[in-house]
Amino acid sequence: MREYQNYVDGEWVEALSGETMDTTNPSTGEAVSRVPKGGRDDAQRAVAAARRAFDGGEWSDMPVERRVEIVRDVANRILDKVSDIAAIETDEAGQTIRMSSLFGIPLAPEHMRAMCSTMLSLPELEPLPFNNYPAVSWNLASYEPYGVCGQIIPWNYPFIMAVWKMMPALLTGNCVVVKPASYTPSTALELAKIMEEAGVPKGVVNVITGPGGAVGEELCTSAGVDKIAFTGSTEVGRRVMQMASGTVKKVTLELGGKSASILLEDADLDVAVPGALWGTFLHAGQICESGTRLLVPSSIYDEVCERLKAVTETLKVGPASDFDSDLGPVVSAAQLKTVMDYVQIGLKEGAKLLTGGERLTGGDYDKGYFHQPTIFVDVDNSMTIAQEEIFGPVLSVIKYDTPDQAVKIANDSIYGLGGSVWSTDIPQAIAIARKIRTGTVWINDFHLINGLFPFGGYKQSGVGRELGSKGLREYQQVKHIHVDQTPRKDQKFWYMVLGV
Amino acid sequence: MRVKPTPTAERTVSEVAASGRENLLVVIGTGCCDSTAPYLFDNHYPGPDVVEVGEVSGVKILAPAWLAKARGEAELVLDCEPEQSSDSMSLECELGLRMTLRLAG
Repeated sequence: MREYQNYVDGEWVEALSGETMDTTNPSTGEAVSRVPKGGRDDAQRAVAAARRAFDGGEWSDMPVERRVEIVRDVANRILDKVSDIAAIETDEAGQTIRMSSLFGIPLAPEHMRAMCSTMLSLPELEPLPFNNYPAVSWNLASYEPYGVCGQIIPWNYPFIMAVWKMMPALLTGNCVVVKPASYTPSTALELAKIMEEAGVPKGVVNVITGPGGAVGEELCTSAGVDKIAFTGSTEVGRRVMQMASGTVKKVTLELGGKSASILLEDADLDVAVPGALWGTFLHAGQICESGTRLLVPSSIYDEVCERLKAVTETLKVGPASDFDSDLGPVVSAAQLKTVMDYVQIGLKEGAKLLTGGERLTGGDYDKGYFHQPTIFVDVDNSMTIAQEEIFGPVLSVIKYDTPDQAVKIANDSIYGLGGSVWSTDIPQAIAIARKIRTGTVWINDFHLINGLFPFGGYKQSGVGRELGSKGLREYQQVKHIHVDQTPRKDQKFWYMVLGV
Repeated sequence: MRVKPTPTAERTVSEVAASGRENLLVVIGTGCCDSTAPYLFDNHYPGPDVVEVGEVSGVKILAPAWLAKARGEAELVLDCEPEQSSDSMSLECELGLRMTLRLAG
């Protein structure tokens, strides 16, 4: 079993209580890692370290080019360790080794490089438009770091989510206290090791493992934290926002989703059918922007369903560490039970199972939390399985008659995180994409999040954006600097308002 | 949608209340990693559009109106299970427990 300590103020330390907690491999039920069970006092220690580091100015005053150089060095070091990190991600999060080693982990340094190039393209000091009222002045926008950023990471993509949060904060000159998910803390601690090796000054990066109720709550309420970034459930996001309000913190949230894939009549089904399944079943459906609702025209509904079933039944569910597994387990016994409950709810509400619908049992399956990739047909969008985020391998296929009706169905959700349009008529697909109230729409693909472009949610899917220039700017305050161009008192006629 | 608590859930909420937490409510939240799940919070604003779907130890159980409508007449059970490492921020986690919401029967 791997053993880790927390990383605080440039030191590797146990929890102040001395308590630890173990993580579990969802494929085998075996313990994977032992990490400190940090509490409020550990979080306070980390916030104090980050505060000192920020106020000391070694990082925040460092030229941006140097910070970029260090982050690029970290990206290169990650590339050297992709297989090691991928193996840990697979053990803890249940990402198939094919996914973690070819997609999940290698994307992180790619995104970091994109963030670095974007950072260098953003002016730190930006001239504002000419102004001559009430007199000529020069005006500048200065983009400056918030200070200390608390960052709460989810369990489904623990490594890349840590990268998405930490790197923009660091590139813009902030210091961070990171709380990884308790199911999957190890790769964030591996990232801290890499950052230490790359020479990130002490106190700039702090990683504290421990339950959300203690560490997370402290980060949200602490007066020493200036910004909080959270990825997770909508209700906890609402809680984070409320707790952060006590100190009027800047908040960014990436929350739930129930994304729709709209398949148009002219779609190339050889691409769209596997594409819709890629959009749904990657990581056994445990991705917040997964396309878990597939909207299909009535005219081709039966053909699409037949093709979906045929492809889905070729998918192999197995241990995440097996390179032949297409889908791994869901993350926990509780999550497996949740998925099984939703299958029952779907059946009770009148949806029909096209394929799947069962927990996989027997042999090695009994050790982990495996569920068949499952497709429901004849789903009405008002059904529970079409409205609630299941976070498992369950697809609802919904029939529509016109593209306008499809858009209406897609938007009939409290969420607005992702989505896709499948069509050979790109202008039409773009027109439909623009009508969907959601943060990202892929046309003829899914899941291809890019470090250069913004990602985030409409409606109850979140606040703010990650990645791209918008994502970097979320970690900066804007200061307006006014430079007076009326040097003589007699030019300043507005002084007469006060009579001075 | 009606939610009935188990005796374990009743005891847990009472224990959290006895610890000094005030203005408790249970809200059925949705989305992302936790899927649909119950949260025990103090001094929490659950949003403008919630309906009461049950009670546990004198504490209201609330759910978003859209969720209650989607679930129709469904009967659900609020229970508690041991969980040492929950990130939900739900208050029972301080006791090493996590509330669950399951289908009745």
